[in-house]
Amino acid sequence: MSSVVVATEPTRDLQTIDGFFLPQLSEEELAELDWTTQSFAGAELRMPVVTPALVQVVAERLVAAQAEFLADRPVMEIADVVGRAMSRWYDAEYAPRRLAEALLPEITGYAPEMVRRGLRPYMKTFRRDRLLRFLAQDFENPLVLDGFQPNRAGGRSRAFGPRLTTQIFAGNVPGLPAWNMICALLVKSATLGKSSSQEPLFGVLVAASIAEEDPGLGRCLAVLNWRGGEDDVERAAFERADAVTATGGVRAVESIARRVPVGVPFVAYGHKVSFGVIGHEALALNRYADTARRVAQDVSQYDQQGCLSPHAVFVERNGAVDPRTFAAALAAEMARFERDRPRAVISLEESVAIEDVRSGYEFRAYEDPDATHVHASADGTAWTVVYEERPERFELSPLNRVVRVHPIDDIAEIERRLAPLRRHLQTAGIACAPDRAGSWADLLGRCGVDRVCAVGQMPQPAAGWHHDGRGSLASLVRWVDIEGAAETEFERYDPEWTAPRP
Amino acid sequence: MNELDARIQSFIEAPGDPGPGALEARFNALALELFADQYERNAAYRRFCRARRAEPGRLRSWWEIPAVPLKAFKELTLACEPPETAAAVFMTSGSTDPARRGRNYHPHLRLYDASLRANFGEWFLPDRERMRLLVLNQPADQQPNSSLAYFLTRLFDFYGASGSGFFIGESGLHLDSLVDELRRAEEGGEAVGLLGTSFAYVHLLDALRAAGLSFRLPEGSRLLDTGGFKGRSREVSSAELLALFDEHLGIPAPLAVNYYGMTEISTQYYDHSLRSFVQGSTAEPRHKTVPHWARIAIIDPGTREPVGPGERGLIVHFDLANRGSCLAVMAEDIGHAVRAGTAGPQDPGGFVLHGRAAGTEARGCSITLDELLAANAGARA
Repeated sequence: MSSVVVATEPTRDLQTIDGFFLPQLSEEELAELDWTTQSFAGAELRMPVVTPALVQVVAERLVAAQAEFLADRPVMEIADVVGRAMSRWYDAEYAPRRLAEALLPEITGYAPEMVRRGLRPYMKTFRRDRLLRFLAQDFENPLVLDGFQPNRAGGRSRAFGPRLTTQIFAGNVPGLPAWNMICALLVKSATLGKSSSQEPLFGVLVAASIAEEDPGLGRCLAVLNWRGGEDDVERAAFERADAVTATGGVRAVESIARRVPVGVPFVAYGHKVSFGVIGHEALALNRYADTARRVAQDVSQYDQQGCLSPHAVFVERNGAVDPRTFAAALAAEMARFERDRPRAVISLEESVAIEDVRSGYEFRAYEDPDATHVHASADGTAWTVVYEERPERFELSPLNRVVRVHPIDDIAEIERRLAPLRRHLQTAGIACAPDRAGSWADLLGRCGVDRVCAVGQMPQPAAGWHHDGRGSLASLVRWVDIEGAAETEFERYDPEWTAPRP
Repeated sequence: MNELDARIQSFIEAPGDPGPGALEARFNALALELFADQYERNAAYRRFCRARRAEPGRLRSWWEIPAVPLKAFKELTLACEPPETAAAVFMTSGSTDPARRGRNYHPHLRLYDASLRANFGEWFLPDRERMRLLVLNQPADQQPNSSLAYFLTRLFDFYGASGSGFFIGESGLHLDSLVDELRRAEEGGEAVGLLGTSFAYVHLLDALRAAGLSFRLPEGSRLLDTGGFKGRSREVSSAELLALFDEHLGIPAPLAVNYYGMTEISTQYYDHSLRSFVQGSTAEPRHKTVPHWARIAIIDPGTREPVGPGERGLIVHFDLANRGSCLAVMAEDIGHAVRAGTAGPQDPGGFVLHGRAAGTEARGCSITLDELLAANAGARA
């Protein structure tokens, strides 16, 4: 097995790290591959040049490894192994964690403190007890993954995961590949992962720590990097797979969807839009500043790149502070977050998009000064809070910490405003009194939302969340039912009745 | 046309040869004067400047003049004279919402014309007075609000020798008559100039290829093209386009001149390649030139400071010919300076245009609402 994280040079500036995970190949086989590197400040990721032939070999071996190490493994044992592997990450000195904390900021541009504080709670999503929640959320009796279990229809059912799932990982937010790979393992599927060029490292590190804990399970994981859309490579990657998942933008997901063979289940985590709703209770004099701080965290974490990040916040009018004041408080908290965890350096194109939003509102304010107000970081585009009284429609943020605040009299107003986005809504972060939460959730669910959480917790979905409205595990499995009537019928063939009498 | 306009016009037409230092001083003085005038007469712009604490008298350099973003031409009425008295209103090509098209009001077109003539003569016709011009665009009377149609029609008026004409009408490209003209030119041996948008050329080249036609236009024949593709034809890289010009028209690369212009300004920026070729000077990497009545700054949009030569940044225009609205305009185009200019650190001398900032793939999941909603159409079968 290839050693997984190799620092070939002692000094940090010359560090070369494996940006792939391929325990299925021998050292000799690896040596025969063509290699390329992706360089970042401080490190260089070494990756094999991926060809259709390589993908074919790896996929074959993943399928074989699945049969050998995974297919007959009790699900609780898998949860144990994964839980133990992930618990290594809770140690601040664990080498892969230190590597992730050191390199992810270089690779992604995210502030080191933000990466550190983001990864820590995220990895706890995969503690053993929380893995059981993933299972419990999707299966009334998780033992259906091990064998046939009684079902409500009077028969027995068993859930088969894919032998191999090809997974196209996202790169916008560090950590996401862990969710994909672990969900596949819990349904006993091997993963052929395609890492994102924006963040090719994390999936490799997670796979490596699972392999450290259990080399057999490790052989059921492979992580490679190729340019998204490389037709012949992806054809090979999809050919052997029993399922394909993809997390990415609209165009990427559409392009993959066109190429997944008919009959192969395709689970797409496409472009999603999230937002916040603040009730008047959270605007009490002793609460509003804290509410603003939580919203600022939700917007700023991972520079708003995640699907979970809010584009806009709807704020009720009848609170102790009005929505306009809340917007000012939010701006102050955005500035504070920026001091602590500065936004990544962004591209010219992204800066232009932010300037465009800012100037649009500036000009509108010339006509009607009360209707809008732009709070913006003084130098540059670090953060922007737009207060907008009567938006023409729900606009998407250009991201990178740009959020709109819209006043509402009643949450029912947002239903109409969100209607065009119905198929794309995801998380609603809310703050209101407990007795209103249920009816708010009813309304938000009707709008198309699939996750309701507290403000301040938007970037951290709970273990077992029905990701994009579907079971993360359930969407991968194929059910096999033995009909109840058949079992009765089988009685007719019991040898007691059919054996020749002596 | 007031007295300031007259001075700007004579500066454009005949700057004299006072040396770079004095030229810069004259440009600066005129820019600050025009700024004061536009501040005074353009209410929306005044408001924009006040928000930036910039007012006449407080600025020392053209560089400090607040540059309006393109969005201002859509959202505000940026006009120094009452809009209804404008001699021309040039509009940006309509996006999804025609009411939100950018508008540039021109009280008169004298400075626009002066700029156009001074530049075209220098960079496209340095070696002759007139030429037979074949225009791949609709004439201005068919497109009264198009600055491009106006520009090309004026070139036709000023420089078109007999036999010049327009080969795109309301029904599209008049391929047959254009092919006749090209053949006539090829046989007659008299050089011609083609003018048009890049995507019009792509349509022409595709049509020629489909018909199996190609031409070797007479020596000295040349071509002017502009603009991106904006989904109006297939995308072709500029290198590929240059190769196709050579292959199908027999126009060598240096004689294919690309220019950069926008509805929101009144000056065009040409490749130097043709002039250098005519003068026999050694080939420099292709770049755009900035005439003496304009400045281009390449800035970091975050800090608003100029970036160094070779570094990508946002293009800001300072254009004395843009008399009717604002002389300082921040484009949404990205470019880099090829070297430090003669007019101090803000002046890049020459520049390379990379293209529009909008519409390029950004990090992560940024997407516009329209793109997202459009994506609904792409359902999986």
